[in-house]
Amino acid sequence: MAKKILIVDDEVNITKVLASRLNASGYDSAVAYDGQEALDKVEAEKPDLIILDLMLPKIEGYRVCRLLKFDKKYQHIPIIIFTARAQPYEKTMAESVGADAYITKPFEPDILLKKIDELLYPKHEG
Amino acid sequence: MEIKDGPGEDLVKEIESLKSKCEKAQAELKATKEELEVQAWGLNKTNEAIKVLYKELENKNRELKKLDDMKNEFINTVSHELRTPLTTIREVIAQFLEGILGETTSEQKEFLRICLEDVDRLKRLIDDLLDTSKLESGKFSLVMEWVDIAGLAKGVIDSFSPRARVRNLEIKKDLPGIKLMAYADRDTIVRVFTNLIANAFKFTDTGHIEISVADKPEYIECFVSDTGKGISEEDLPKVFTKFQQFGRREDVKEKGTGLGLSIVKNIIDLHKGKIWVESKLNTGTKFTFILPKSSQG
Ligand SMILES: Nc1ncnc2c1ncn2[C@@H]1O[C@H](COP(=O)(O)OP(=O)(O)OP(=O)(O)O)[C@@H](O)[C@H]1O
Ligand SMILES: [Mg+2]
Repeated sequence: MAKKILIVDDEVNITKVLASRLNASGYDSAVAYDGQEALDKVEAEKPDLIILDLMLPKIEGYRVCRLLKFDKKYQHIPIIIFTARAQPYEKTMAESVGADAYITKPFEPDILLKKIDELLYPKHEG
Repeated sequence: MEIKDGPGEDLVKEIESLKSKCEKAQAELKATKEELEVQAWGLNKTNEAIKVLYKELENKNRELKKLDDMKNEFINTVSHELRTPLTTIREVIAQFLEGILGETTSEQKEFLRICLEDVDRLKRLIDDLLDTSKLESGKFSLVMEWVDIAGLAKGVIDSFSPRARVRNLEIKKDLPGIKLMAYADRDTIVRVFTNLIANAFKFTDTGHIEISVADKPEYIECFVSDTGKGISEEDLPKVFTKFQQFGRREDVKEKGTGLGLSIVKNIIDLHKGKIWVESKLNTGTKFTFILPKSSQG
């Protein structure tokens, strides 16, 4: 069965092209446009991986990440922080809330797909 | 006997004249004193004025600095905002070309490829502007690590081989068979090689492009040379200045902005290295740079 990826981003255009790219690479996708919806969708969709933007309406990305990583039910789901905030300290912040990877926008599909593959199939690694 | 006022009268006159002289002198003195006072007051005023002007100049300076910071901040923000929609556009075009979004005819593909090329050009321009503004505001932070410069150069050269084939230019590489480690920022050194080799391609019609990486005791010496149109003696000192482009532009197929070499120079400077250029019109150009193996040493 195809792995399911939850895309959390309030920019509709990005979620659309990203979903299309993920589907073409053989993944199922689900989308949430704000932090609250993200938490709801995690419960409803049981994704295998989450791509998470930081600047989200309602609940901020970091908080979403922390909430999920502190929840025994969901902490195993890999989270990729995917953000336009490129300050050096952000990466450290991402690590401190338990994110599994940190990728800066703009969207470079190759880098993102590679990271997804690494996180979903860790045994494939060198 | 006639009483003469004689000497007595003279004396009185003399005294009177002296008195009037004295009064005059006193008046003059008073005038001079007043004059001096006026001057002192004036000097004081001038002094104050200078102080005010100095303050103003200081403020202006601070304002200018602030404006410069704002300009850089502005370019930073704008570049970032521009890149986000641009990458979405690029991704959509790429997905069309890959057939992910349905079939396209070969003619449509041709035009999509044109879009992709120009989107990439725009992206490069934005990246260059962003880097220039970061470099100028001193906000460019290097991520230093031990990097194999020879391996890195090989990677960049390989990425140019399709272009060499299309342009029918030979790439000669003189790389050591072993790793050459330097403490450097990988991405920016890739940038240096990419910009120099891209220039060599841009300004060379026939012949070859040569890239060399060599080990020296304290540093690593690299060069990129070509057999292209060269740079005149007069233009040579200006090559590392931003927005400087020379020669007839219509000859150049790939248009640039004139930021490439200024970024290269800034990166090499940040690594405490050196870069220089030798060139002869219609014969060729050689850019050489040295990178300290460890910038502490
Ligand atoms: N290898 C070369 N041969 C001949 N001229 C060169 C060479 N490299 C640079 N120049 C000259 O120096 C100018 C500045 O180079 P620079 O790389 O800064 O700008 P550019 O290549 O024109 O644009 P950009 O790099 O921003 O795309 C060029 O426009 C060209 O006139
Ligand atoms: Mg250039």
